[in-house]
Amino acid sequence: MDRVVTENLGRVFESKSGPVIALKSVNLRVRAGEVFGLLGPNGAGKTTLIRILTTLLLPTSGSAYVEGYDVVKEAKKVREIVGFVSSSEKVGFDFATARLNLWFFSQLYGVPRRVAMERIEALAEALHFKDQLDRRLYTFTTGYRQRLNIARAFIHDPHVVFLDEPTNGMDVMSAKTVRELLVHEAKTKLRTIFIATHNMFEAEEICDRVAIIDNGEILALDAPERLKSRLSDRVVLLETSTARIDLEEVLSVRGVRGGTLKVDGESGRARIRLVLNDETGLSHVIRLLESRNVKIFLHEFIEPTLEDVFVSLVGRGFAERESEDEK
Amino acid sequence: MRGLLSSIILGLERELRWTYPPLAVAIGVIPITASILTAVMVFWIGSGSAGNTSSYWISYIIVGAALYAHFSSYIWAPLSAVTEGKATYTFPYVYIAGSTITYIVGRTIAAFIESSLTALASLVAASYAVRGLLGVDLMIMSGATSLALFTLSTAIGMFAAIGLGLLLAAYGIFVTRLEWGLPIYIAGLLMIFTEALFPSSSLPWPLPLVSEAMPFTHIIRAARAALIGPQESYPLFAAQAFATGIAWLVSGIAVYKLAEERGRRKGYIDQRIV
Amino acid sequence: MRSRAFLWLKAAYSRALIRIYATYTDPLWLVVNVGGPLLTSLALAMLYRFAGLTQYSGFAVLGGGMMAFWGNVLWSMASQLNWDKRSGMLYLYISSPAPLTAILIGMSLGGIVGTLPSSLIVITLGVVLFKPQFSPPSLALAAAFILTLVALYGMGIALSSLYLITGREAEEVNEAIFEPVSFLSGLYFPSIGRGSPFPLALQAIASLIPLTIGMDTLRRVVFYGQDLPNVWLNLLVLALMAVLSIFAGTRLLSIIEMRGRMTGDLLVRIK
Repeated sequence: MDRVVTENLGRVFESKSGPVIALKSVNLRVRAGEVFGLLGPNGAGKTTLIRILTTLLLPTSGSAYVEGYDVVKEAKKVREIVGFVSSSEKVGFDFATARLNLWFFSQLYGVPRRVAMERIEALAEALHFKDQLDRRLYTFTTGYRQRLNIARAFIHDPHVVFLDEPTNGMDVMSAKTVRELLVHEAKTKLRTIFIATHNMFEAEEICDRVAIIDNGEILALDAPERLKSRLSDRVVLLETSTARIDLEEVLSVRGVRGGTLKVDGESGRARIRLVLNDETGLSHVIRLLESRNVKIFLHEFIEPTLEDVFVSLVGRGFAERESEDEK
Repeated sequence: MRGLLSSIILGLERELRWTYPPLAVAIGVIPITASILTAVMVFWIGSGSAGNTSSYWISYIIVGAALYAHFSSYIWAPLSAVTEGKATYTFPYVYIAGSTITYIVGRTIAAFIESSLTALASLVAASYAVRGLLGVDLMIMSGATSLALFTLSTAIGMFAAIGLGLLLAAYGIFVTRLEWGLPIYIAGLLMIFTEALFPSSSLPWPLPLVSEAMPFTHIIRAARAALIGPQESYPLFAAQAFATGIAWLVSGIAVYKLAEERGRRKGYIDQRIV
Repeated sequence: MRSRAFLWLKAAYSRALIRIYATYTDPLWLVVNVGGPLLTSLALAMLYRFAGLTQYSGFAVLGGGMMAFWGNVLWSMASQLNWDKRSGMLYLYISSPAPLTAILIGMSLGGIVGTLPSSLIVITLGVVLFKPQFSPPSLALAAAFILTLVALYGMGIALSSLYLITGREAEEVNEAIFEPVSFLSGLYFPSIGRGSPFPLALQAIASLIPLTIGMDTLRRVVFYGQDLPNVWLNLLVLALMAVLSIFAGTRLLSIIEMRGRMTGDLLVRIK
């Protein structure tokens, strides 16, 4: 059963410099019990999509349904069955205990007191903060606050939970705990988990399917392994003697679809990661670099990641896309 | 000097609400004028209204209430310099740069300047409003000498302002929540003990002694002597304001330095407000 | 229908409880909340005494007691949704099925219960120190007090909707209106009716503020010994004001919420 459906969903914002298209004709179908990832750089449209699906924002074109309810016309019904987590870890009442905070949020959904208390205990146990339940929120570290934020989203037994970069700023162990919970909730309780992230590892680790989004458009949608398999033997890593390389020039070489460049601050060397159209692209790149007196220490084909999939679609990595947007 | 100047400039930006200066001025003048008028109306009604027009006492209250508003406005600045600074992590950086006293003094001076202007504007506005509403001819002098003496008495108040500011900043180093509590009490006590609304002789003994120990009492007396008279009393009041102000300044510096040293030992310098 | 009413009550109750919890579990809140109203009412009561008519010091004591509520309405009610918007709480309220009005009414009730101790302390201390003459408690007093609070907090609900439109200026607006409204509404002296120093035109303007009618009613009942037959019109006006302001506030809130969903500017916190 499709729990989340969008049909040609679009959103345009009016700004002083003119209209900004945040979403362009997005079509998605997400099933019950699925962990669905929305992967893209900052400004890609992930948050806008989630805001529409959680009834916080109206679309300007198209339609969206959560469990068959129209997010525009039946917003109240949608609100009863969705949970939402953002990375705003400051949410909550600092002077109240974690338990009281969670109880309060449960009451906004009409959860009976006894049931709410049981769920609070269970979620706190699953997220490893049961011993913190009776401490006031202002004593919580960022990691614990976000765990509480996540517990809050599940307190009313929602059918669909939307998470916007939920593990942002969390330590490794906390993030792992959260991911385990999300998968558990999807697989054992058939909740739909809809997670927006720019964390590639997270998307690959837990998502059944991933939609890659950029500039408000879905560029690709499939299981992470199938997305990556499209690029097998087409991702190459080069290590060079100098970081003074014109990436644009490299990317314009015939046979190169896209790439990223990272600099090793200590050694001054560059690591260029390229997505090729075919194997001949590599030889063109090597010829170019040698003509620029750049020594190549290493070149090897490597396993593709989801960012490589993004690069193959857009031509740039996340960081480069975000800095382009800033300019 | 640079540090002091930059702190004053920053403080002025902050006090002018960093959004829209005319709004900031209006926000400053309107409530102060309203509070002056409230005090005047209380006296007017309490003295039997129309049959007992006491121009002197109404003038007394207008000048005192305006200056009280000036004190109670600027006392927030040094505290928030520390508490807001801790919340945004600015204060620890200022501390490491070794410039905290300069920073706090600068912020206090900025607030002092802004509140002096709004208090003066409010005094003028309230005078006109009282004339209009109650038909009372006020005894407030507006000649050049009166204004110059009034300005001088306000300027002398800078020492007390900085002294009190440093005391509040010392408190700000240790407070972890509800930081606005102490300034509220201080503002309330200033209203009662500084002859803002009534002479300290109205207070039961030995409370008038508390009034005498406060530089703010003498500042208000000097300001009244300047604007209402008798101006012959002005030098004495101004000297008392100066002497008590210096005493508060010296105490403020000493207490602040102690507080900072203790705060560093106990780990309060960068402890955030809840 | 039943479950919607049940949800409404649960949301209001839980929000009220949070507010009450904040006040009663932390004694420092009480100390802080008492300071302003107490010292202001003491200063003005002393001014009445100095002016000559000591019996009017009761006006200052009553004003101090009500100032606690007025301050709570402005700083904890009117500004609350604006702060919630900045902290990210507002999106949680909107994305839940609980009506925002329930949350606002809960805040009001919690605010009243939470402010009551401060108000009682101010009034008790004022009565002990200044010994004003006042009429014994009556049905008229209870009605006047309750309706004044309902009207005041109704005004708070209306203001909270308006404040959602403003940005950081909410605190500045609070600072700008607190004293002028205290003055016009006659928190410490009669601004309308018997003994008012205001011209009729100003009295008419002042009468548009719920607190003005409330303070006048309370003074008449507490100090002039008037009863229900004398103040029924004031009570009726207070009730109407309460209904109107709550209705206006909730309507405005719906419009703002819908506009916010259309333009996307209601929810600042979300990236």
